[in-house]
Amino acid sequence: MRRECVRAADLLAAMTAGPEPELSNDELRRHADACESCREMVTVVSALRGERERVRRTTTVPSAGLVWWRAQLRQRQQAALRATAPVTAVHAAAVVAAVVLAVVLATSVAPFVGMPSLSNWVPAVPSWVASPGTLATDFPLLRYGLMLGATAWLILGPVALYFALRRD
Amino acid sequence: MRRGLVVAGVGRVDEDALDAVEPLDMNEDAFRAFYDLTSSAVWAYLSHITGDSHAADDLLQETYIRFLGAHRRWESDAHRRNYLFRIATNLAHDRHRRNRLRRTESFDEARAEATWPSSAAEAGYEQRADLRRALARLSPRERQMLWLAYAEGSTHQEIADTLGLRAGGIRVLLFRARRKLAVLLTLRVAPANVEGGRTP
Repeated sequence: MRRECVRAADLLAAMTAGPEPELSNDELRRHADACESCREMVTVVSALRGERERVRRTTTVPSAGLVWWRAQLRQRQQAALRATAPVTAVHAAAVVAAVVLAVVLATSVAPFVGMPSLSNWVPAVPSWVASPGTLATDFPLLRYGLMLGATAWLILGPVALYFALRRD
Repeated sequence: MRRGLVVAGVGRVDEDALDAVEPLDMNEDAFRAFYDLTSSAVWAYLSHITGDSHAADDLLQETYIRFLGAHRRWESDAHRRNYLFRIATNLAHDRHRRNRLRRTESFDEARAEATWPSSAAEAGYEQRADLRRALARLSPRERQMLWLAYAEGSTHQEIADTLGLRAGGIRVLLFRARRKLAVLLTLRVAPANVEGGRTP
């Protein structure tokens, strides 16, 4: 493998000193003509510096005002997301709690309306988990409480879900 | 009535909550001065490492938006400028990765031809076409290193900081990339379809 010429750093410094990638130093130019590594350096630096200067002269970039405005808008959006993060967490917790409550009430009411309990479909589930309604059988007052809760849920559940999921 | 503001994708937010908006790192005048000084160099870098001037427009704006929200302390102007190029590099890298997932070309030579502002009547058109074709055959990392070193005049340490590489390895990597580009420019390579700089 060829190694980099020891004059490469001098050559690069000379070519990048001015706006145009010219090699004004005669001694360095003679060296570059004779040295393959430095000739490559001249080829590459001339092409890239020349292209950069051309782009600098001819390109129109988006305006600073537009970028500034977008940056401010992004800051406000991020602040808004931070501000609403706790509310979003409460919404998520409310939805989870509502779903759990619905399942509990459904399995509680199921035996009273002749529907099979959860343990019929999933035998591995303990009976007191699959059908908390058995508790109601043992405690009749609890039975009326559960019925009342189920009715309230049927009425209030959709309203609660609406408020939890709505967006202004 | 509740005081508030509707923010896209978020909904209504109380204005009091927005009092906590962190100020941008600069005032508008300072930003305009910095932008005027650096934006064409960042645009040139982005357009030559992606090969797409439209993508360069988008990435340029995103680069400055992230820069303004960075809330960092700058040791010097050079440090600030290098950080800007680092953000640009990361954004270009993300774009390259997304394009690979979508199996589209990260450096589309035909698109570069169509979008780089030049015309056949312009002086040096052929040399630019040669440069474009040659760059298309390099890897994104090689394009980044070469542009930073020879177009921007960055030091090895600055290149390492910008690209997230070890400074010790830059000399050898740069030497190899320079040889490769010099050979391609000398041979005046024919147009080719490339994926991430690899020749099929």
